[in-house]
Amino acid sequence: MKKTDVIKEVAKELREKIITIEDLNALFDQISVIENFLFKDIKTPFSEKLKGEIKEDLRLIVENLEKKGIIGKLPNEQFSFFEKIKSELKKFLLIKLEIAFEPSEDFLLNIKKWLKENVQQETVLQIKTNPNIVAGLIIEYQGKYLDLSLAKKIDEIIETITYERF
Amino acid sequence: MDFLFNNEYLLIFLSFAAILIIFFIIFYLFFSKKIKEEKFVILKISQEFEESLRKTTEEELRKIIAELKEKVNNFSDKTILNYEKDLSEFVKKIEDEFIALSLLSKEGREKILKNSEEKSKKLENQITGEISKFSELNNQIRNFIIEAVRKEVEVMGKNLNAETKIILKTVDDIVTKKIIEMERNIDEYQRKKMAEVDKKIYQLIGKVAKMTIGKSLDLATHEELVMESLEKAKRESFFK
Repeated sequence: MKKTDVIKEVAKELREKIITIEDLNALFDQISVIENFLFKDIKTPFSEKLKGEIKEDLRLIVENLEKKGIIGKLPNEQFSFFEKIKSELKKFLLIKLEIAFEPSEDFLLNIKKWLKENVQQETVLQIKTNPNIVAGLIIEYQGKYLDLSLAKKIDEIIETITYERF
Repeated sequence: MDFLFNNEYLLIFLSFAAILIIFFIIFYLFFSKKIKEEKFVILKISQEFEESLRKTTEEELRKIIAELKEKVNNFSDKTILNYEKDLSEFVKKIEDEFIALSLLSKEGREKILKNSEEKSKKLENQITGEISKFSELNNQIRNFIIEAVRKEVEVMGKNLNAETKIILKTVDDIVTKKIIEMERNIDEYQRKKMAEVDKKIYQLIGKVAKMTIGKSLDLATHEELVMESLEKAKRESFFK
């Protein structure tokens, strides 16, 4: 397996866990921490140094990659690897969603799943909670905007009534 | 001869008096014309003071007429008095002449007397005629002035009435238009205000509806509506 393919596979695995932009930023922060430890205490195994410093699931991924020799042994090689991962992760498409309620993790996963099936692009969500939209959804995607909120429908009904009346 | 001379003198005097009378007649005719001209000047005065002007003019005219009447009356009275005085003097002179005549011969006296009587009668007739003419002219002048003034006042009154009517009609039209315009504005204002109130009511209904619906929906319905919205976005090719 080529190194580039490995990087893409790792990025894909990481993307599976990312739903929102906050998740992605958190991952970038974690990778920055990893990069900071690359040049410290080079004799100690890398995954060992990261214990308690990053999330355990991520540390296990790093450990697995280290055991397989995918991330390299020299700090420079390792740094390059993580920079390429970061670069791959930036290929997400951002979708801004405005909804009326605080969404559960499961609901966000449902949305992610739906987007993966229907948009066919790796997407990351930027969720904004706004009760004023009453219900439904406002979407922004690649410079496009669509208001499918119930508030807009109510406004349209009021507008129609007042227009017909006057 | 003295008598004849005196008669001639009397004739000259009376002729002079007649000329004076004619002069006064001309003066009054001219004066009345002047009054007439002044009326036209008054008529040109601004409409804004028409009503007060009309009253003032009428009052002034009344004064002028009264003054003229007085002057004419005074003039005729004085003239008659002068004539009476002249006549009495004339009669006295005749008596004196008669006394003098008594000294003359019967034939001469009769001749002079006859001559004198004829001349006296002629003079008397002339004087009576002049007085009569003067009285007639005096009346004519008086009537003419009164009539002229009356006509002027009448014409001015008519003009003022007509102008006043036009002004009143114009004012009435303007007022009517203003009233209609005001009514239209009030209606428009009421309509706008009602529309604003209605809009506010509906906006309030919308606001309440938003609050009520938003709170009344359970989480499952919210989630369902979000998923439906995503499906709708897909149908509208939003993600392409």
